[in-house]
Amino acid sequence: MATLIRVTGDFDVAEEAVQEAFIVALERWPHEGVPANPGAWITQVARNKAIDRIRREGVLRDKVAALERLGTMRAATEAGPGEQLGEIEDDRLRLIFTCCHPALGAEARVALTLRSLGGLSTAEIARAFLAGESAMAQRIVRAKRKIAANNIPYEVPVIEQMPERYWQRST
Amino acid sequence: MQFMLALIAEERSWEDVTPDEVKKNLAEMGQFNAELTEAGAWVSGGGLQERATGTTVHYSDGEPLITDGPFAETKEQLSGFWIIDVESLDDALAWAKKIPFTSNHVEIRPMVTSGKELLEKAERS
Repeated sequence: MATLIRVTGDFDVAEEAVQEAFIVALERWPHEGVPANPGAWITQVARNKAIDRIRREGVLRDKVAALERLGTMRAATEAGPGEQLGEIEDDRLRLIFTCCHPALGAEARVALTLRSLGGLSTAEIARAFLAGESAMAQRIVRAKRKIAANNIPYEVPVIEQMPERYWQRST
Repeated sequence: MQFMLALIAEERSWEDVTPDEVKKNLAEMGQFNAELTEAGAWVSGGGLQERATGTTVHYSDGEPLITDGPFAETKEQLSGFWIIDVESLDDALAWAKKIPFTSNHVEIRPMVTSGKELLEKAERS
């Protein structure tokens, strides 16, 4: 999921692609058997779904960069399972920094991290915050939109930015 | 992509400002703007005159209504702005931090890039 968010630059496209990939898995794995590397299999199928989705939306011009990154990812995937797993780990780390960007409120950061990386449902996060589910869903949507609108990058900050990110207090 | 850096500041009366302060501010702002230009990030910008010089037009079904002064009578008001062209919010934040202010606020807003973008948003929701 983190990999898909990075390459597509869009939480919603990534989320839907991964969901679609799991549907394909549910259809195929029971009679074709579970692949050797299920995580990589899901990522690969989700990648293809993301390409389809981006093409379908007809916003190719704006998404050429995303497609190029997806292309690079295929090359990396073909390189071998070891490197591929490394890349997935890196993507998770990148996503943590994106979800915890100082431009987001503290609660939005925690909620988005739990949703995107912790795998918690919106309902579970809402319970943890003693908030209503629809209010929490709204907060997560708003945080995702802010990330997209501001082109907040999916990357680990350079070392010079680390102290600042560490000490960043939220309002 | 373009961002607007909106300067929100409390207005000072001209009697409180010394010529030396004006010179210092002009030099500092000139330096900052020159850095923006050199980095290829400058699009436009400038300071606004006192809010008492402003006029507000209110629109409704009928004829637009013109009133004297700013839209909202708050202590802190829009006092100037920059439009900069950078990669992301992170770059915009880095530039904003360089503005040599000791008070005031700067609100950073991503600009709409095209009519197409607005249309897509409307179609999605």
